[in-house]
Amino acid sequence: VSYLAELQRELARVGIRGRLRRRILDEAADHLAEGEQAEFGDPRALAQLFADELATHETTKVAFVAFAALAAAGAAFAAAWLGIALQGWPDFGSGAFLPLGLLTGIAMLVCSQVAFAAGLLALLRAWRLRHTRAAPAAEIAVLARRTNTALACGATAVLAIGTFALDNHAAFARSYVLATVTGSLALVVPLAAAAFASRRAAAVRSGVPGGPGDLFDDLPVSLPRHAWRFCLAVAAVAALATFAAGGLDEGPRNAVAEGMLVVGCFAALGRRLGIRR
Amino acid sequence: VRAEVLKGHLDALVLAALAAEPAHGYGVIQHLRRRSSDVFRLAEGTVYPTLHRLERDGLLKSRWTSAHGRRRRVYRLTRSGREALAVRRLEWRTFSQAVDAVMA
Repeated sequence: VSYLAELQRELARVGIRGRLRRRILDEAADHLAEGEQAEFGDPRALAQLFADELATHETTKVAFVAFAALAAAGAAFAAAWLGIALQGWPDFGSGAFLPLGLLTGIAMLVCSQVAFAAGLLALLRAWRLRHTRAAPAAEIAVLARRTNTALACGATAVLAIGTFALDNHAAFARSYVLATVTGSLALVVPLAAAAFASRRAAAVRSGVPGGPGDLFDDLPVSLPRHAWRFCLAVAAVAALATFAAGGLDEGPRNAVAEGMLVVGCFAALGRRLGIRR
Repeated sequence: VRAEVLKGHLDALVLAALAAEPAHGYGVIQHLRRRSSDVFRLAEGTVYPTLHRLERDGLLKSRWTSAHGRRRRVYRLTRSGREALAVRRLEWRTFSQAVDAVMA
């Protein structure tokens, strides 16, 4: 097996494909035409060196792109939510198709908040790793999981509000329904593009050893490393804000539901998103 | 010089090698060997991940050229690359003077 064939195989093994792989092989071929093969180095080590740096760079870049797409989707989601509030919330069971109303209602409430939290966590880690040459593979995996979770939940929330508007079209202005459905479909496109880029970035396999890190490594300020206490503090703040928004009638009920939602999501997704170890 | 020691300074050395004139990967390696009187010897392939990263960071630009019937990727410094090199040179002078003072 020639050196270049071996290098090609090693580059494929670490997930470097397409134009970049061709460029590396062309440069190596030009180099080897003048230099000694023995001096060029071990093909496996060289391919891994490329992958270690590329995995960090690509995953971090995708996280920033995903956050930008999520920010646009979040702003549109908030506008659509405000539109519903201004026209008056219909009963979740009053839509044309009862299970759909309940499902979209839950998706709007839960997925939007998970997308916001996971997107923020991804941004924190991407910011911390922005000047890192080759981060540990486990840290990159956590960043990719945060990004993918944020994108999946963001797309679900955006589609849910469009579906909710369509299902309850009788309760809303025609122009509102049209704008919300069209907007939700349009906003899924950049989210899907970011998810596709994230999938491509994840194909490059870093081999740098090290732990996955957690939220407390990512925060720009030093906090006591008590994940559950941190979760309860966030739940309390969220519950208070919900209480304030709901007033005396609906506030207490909404606050309890919000607090339970935060704690439940933390229990279910805390490890996956690298909030706790 | 151990490879680990050299790797820590490879970015600055590659920028300095390209400050004189644009070059391809093999040319950069030869420049480093020649100027260091063959002290700087490292696996030649390892210069390429460095060149690619410096290009991603906007410190280098590259393009394909044709030489002796072969395709050749030639790298040159950008304005940001020249500024980064000036900073690295200053850092190195300060560091090496301090090391000299301590070791003397």
